[in-house]
Amino acid sequence: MTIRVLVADDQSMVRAGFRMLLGDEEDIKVVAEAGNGREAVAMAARFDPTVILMDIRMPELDGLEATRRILAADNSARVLILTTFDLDEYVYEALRAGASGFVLKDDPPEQLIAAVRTVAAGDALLSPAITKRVIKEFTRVGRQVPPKELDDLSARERDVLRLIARGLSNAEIGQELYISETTVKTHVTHILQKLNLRDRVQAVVLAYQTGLFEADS
Amino acid sequence: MATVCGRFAAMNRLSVFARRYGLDVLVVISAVAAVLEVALRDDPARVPRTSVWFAAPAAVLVVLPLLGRRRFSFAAPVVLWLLAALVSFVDGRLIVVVNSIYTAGIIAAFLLGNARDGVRGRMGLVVVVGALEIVVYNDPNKTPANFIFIPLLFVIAWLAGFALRERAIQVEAAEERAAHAERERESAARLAVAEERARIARELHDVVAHAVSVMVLQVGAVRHRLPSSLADDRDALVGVEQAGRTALAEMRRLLGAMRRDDEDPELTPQPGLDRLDSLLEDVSRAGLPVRLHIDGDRFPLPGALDLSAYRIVQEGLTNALKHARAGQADVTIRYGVDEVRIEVRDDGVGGSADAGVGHGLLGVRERVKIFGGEMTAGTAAQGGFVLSTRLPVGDGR
Repeated sequence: MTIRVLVADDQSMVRAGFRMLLGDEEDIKVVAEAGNGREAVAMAARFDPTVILMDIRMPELDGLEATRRILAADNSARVLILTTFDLDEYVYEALRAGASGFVLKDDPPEQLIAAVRTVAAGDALLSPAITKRVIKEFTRVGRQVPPKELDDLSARERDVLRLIARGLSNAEIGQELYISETTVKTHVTHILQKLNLRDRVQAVVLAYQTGLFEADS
Repeated sequence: MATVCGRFAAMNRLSVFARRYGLDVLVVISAVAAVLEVALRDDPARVPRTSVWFAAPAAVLVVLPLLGRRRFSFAAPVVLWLLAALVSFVDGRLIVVVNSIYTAGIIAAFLLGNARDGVRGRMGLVVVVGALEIVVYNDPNKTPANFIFIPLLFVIAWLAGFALRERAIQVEAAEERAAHAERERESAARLAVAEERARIARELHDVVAHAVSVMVLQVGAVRHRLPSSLADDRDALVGVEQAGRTALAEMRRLLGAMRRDDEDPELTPQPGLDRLDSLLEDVSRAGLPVRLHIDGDRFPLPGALDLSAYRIVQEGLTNALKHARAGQADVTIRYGVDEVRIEVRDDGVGGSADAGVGHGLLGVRERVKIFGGEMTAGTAAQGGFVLSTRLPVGDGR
């Protein structure tokens, strides 16, 4: 299954760099490029890419707004935010806009490629350094009332949710709870369905916004 | 015409001189007059008791302390009165008969009444009255009435000084406020320059960080696709990537520290001359129509220069919008060999030709300085205001 990628960045050299980087991977193909937010929205609609690499700072329409519009049109779109600066506000807003992940342009190529694959697979991604800061930011922001759907979660599912909120991967959760990774995945799917969430990052957001789980450290 | 001006200037200088040194001149005249009085008067009723060799110098000595009133505003008049009292022990008539001493005494009493420090002023009054009573007592020709009426005159002088004290204090306060305001203005100007420099620094760091970021990305992409047989090349490129990431980390830290608390993070890239059209549109909508003229062969400017060129146009137009009350503005970009000239012209009220010292063009001045260019700003020959800058474009076009 080829991962089809749309690269949206106002700097042509960045687009060229990603073309070079992703073009060498057998399962990834860059199908479209955009130089600003407006083009990005148009290209996304036209090409329906698997993953959209979206720069935040673009002329005419910025990447955050473009992300919102793309997701408004297609809820299942997967947007990986690119940036030079990992400012907390960017990350927070990107996640609120519905992005699936957040990477820095100068992250090592291996990480960038892995990020594309992770997001394509439906798993949301935040680099560990960013996760902690994001969690801090969410606990700072005002608490929301927990949705009553939380009560529908089984005890096991609550355990899994707690560990997701701590930024653990499925494999790590399996180790913690002495269950198989497949079982973890099933629990995760159920949790997302019951709480009507798009991906595990949204689950983290919800957990901290409702103050269910305090961030450690 | 020249002589009238010359005379006017001379009179002006004379009045300034009179204000500063007038009293000193009077004191000197009084001293001289005192000597003459002592030496020349021969009315037996009004002659000092001692010989002229004592009386003349003594009279001068009593009067002269007034010359020290600027440095010793309290001590000088007090010394005058103390001397007067002392001299009266030696020559009881001298103080009373010499008119110049009277004059000096009145002035001294006035100065004491004028003393800023109320306590000192009152002490001065005591000294004056006390000294006078001594002088009157030592006068062989005294009458009982003298004890009351002679001091009274000097007390009135003291009161006059006291009454004018209020006004003198106010004048001093006003001068202090003016000096303070001047210091505040200078301080605010320095602060504005510092803030503008910080803003420029932030922007330039931003431009550089983006450039380095792209470098790291590209180098990483190349390094990633190198076959493992080229291990040395890969290692070299890894080194470049690390260096780039370290540099970026430093710049992120610096920019994080330099960001002002009230600033929202940027959602648009740093602008350049390619965004002039939207800027001009905004300015036109704000009430000042702008025309754009481009001369010469257009070429893309390096990032930081491009940004500064944009900012120069932006500041120039903002200045025109705010101050010029103009009807039309013109922006001219002239591309030359190794340089670009930017001119912002409006047809409004001109400003002073102070080369952008006012805050409005402060940023322009700083940016031009950074790139080693030149700028002039002032009233145009045909009216209105023109901001003219030249930015050299370095090698590596």
